[in-house]
Amino acid sequence: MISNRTSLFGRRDFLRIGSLGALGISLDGVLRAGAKRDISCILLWQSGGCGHLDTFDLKPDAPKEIRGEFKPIPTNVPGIQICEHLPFTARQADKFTILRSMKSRENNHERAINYLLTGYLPLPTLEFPSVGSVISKELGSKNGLPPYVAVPNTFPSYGAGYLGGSYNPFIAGDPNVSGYQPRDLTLPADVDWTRVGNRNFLLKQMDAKFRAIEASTDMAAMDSFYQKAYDLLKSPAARKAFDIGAEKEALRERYGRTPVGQGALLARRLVESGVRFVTVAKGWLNYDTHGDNFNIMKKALLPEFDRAFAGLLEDLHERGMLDTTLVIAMGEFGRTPKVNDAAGRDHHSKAWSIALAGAGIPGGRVLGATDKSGVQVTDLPVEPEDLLFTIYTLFGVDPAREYQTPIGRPVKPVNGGQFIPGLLA
Amino acid sequence: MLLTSTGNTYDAPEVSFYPEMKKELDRASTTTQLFLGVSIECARCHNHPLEHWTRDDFNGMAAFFSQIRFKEPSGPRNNEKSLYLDFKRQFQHPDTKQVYLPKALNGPVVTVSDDWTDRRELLADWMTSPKNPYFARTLVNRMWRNFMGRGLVEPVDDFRATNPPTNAPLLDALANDFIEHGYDLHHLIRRITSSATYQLSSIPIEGNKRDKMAYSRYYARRLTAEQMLDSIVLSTGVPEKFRSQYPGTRASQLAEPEIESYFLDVFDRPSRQLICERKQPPTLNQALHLISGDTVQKKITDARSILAGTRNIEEMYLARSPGTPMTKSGPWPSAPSPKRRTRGAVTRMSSGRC
Repeated sequence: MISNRTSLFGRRDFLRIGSLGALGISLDGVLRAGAKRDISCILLWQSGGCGHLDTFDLKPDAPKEIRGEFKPIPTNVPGIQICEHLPFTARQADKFTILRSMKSRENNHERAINYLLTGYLPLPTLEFPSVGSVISKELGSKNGLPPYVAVPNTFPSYGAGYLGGSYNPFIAGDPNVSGYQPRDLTLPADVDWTRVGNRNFLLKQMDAKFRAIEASTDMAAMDSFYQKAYDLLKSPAARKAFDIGAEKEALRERYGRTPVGQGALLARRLVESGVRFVTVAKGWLNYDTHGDNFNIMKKALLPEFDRAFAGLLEDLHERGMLDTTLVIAMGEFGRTPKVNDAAGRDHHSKAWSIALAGAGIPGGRVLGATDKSGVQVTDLPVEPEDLLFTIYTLFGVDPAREYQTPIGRPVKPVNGGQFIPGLLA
Repeated sequence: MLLTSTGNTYDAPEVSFYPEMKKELDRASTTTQLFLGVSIECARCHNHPLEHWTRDDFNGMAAFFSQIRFKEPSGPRNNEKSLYLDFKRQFQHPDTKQVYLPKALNGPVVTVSDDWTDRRELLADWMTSPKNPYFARTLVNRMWRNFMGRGLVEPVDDFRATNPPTNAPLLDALANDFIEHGYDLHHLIRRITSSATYQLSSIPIEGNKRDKMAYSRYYARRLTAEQMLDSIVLSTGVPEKFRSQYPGTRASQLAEPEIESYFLDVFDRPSRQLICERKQPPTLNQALHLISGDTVQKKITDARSILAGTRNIEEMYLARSPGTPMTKSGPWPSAPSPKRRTRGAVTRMSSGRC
């Protein structure tokens, strides 16, 4: 369905088709709004690639070497079953959509992550911006807060690519440590704003000399970061947003006292204060369970993901923020249906599952399907380009607009793609 | 040499090259990218769409690394890794289970004469053979980038027909010279640094302002994380303390990237897992760290700081940068009250500019 990337719909065609009803009325509503919508996105990133057969696409009727050790459990939506190690998530199933038909063409972590976050197959000659950076550029900052925040840290492919360093994410650190505060968000005790002003004055003076000799986009980016740093240091909203200690103990427990759980809670606080795009990850490639998959999943990865994801959905819902917050849980690919000799699952990019919620996406549904072994997508294939097209559309960012690379080449924020059919229906 | 190292990581530190790469295919990919400047990653799954690398090339390279085995750490040094060779071990492709014999890129299948050959030595011999088209060019290109700010082939690990060097005769001449002098790095460094090109001024003149790849002037570039931290140390006279390192150890002397330093990390010190060149993008966290972080603040308030006491800020300023410091109302007063004023100037110097 989405294989032909050379004859893409233009935005106008797309609007017309939408209004004709081919893609549903609510999508038309989203697009007709035209102006940038005031939504934010929280991306729970399962770095390393999360096994779909162990989470949202179980195959209880498949042979043991495929179905693995986990059993399905019912959810609060009749007919939808997910993994037994996601009990909290099961009680929030009415709030999110499971998409069982993601597929990619990259089986290598770095390349797959790059593909999924940029909407382009990686090219050695041009570094594409990640979705968070594009959203940063398009929507800008609010309340002195950085528009794009990475919790706890940034990883390859999270960056701004050819858009230039100023759209790189702010690194928030691990909010699960006691007394958490992002580094350097408070001036040293004996430095006041007068002194900071004096310093900045001298800095500009020195820079002016240098600027006469050399100019570069990186220098401009560093300048913009100085300004943003002053804004951030002065912003009471920012201080408040990062103050995760202000949350009630019970709520912190509900998210789970893990880096991912507290990361998701921090993400909600940030979004509430005006941050546009937050990535939350446990770390780098933790889901890469080539060996001992079932123990690692049930003891470590799933319980903390379960509380974090379910806690986030419930909390956003209670605060009435789910309509304006897009929540996505995904990794760069799935894992092989066939369990390997080391009780692990290997990389599998032909089919995997992701979960989407909020921003007008109805919950309690399963979209797409895989075959009886979970090897191939049999219905509604969605590729990285389509997912990014969808995210940009939801944000009101025209996926067909063009940016100029440093050498003047026009490049779109995503390499084609189309809105995931039925996502808003 | 790194490639042929064996033993444990304490006695033979060069062994540390290997443990990060779990499988033969990873070793093949990394080694090729680092030493041959060629990215064959695409050929892991399919024949390269644009270049002539095939999956057989990739698997052949991987087969050079099949004998590598590790012993688990025992005893008190729990981060110790010991590399030994299982001479008979063949490379079996993880998916197809097919056994591949060692074959260098664009080279013939290597026949291993007996069971006691370290295949990596064969690879090293092939790499450093004067006829090898990749190794010398990759090395001189990396060195050139190190000194000039931009490789003749850029990125330095992406040599391919569709990414030609900006100055092919120069690259060839440097590579041949390097080979003729027995791969002597010191000689290569002397060659580059004694060239007229290296010694050009960085101040542009009319006509070469926009030049970014012809080396018509010296390109200013950002200090690395280590250089920046060492510069702050030098400007203030207060050494940085690294955990379990001798006092006075400089950032540029640190043996491994695992030694904790927020400053170095925030300014993009690369981890051992990454094999690409560092990019050093500017970030908001860097600006914050320079404005309100503890690195600069600790150094300028330390009792050992050359800024402490009654020394003259103007002197110090002049020693580190050209020109007279100015305040909003004219030249900086020559005898400022040191505690209040001095801290400003050092922050400027460490503002992340070259």
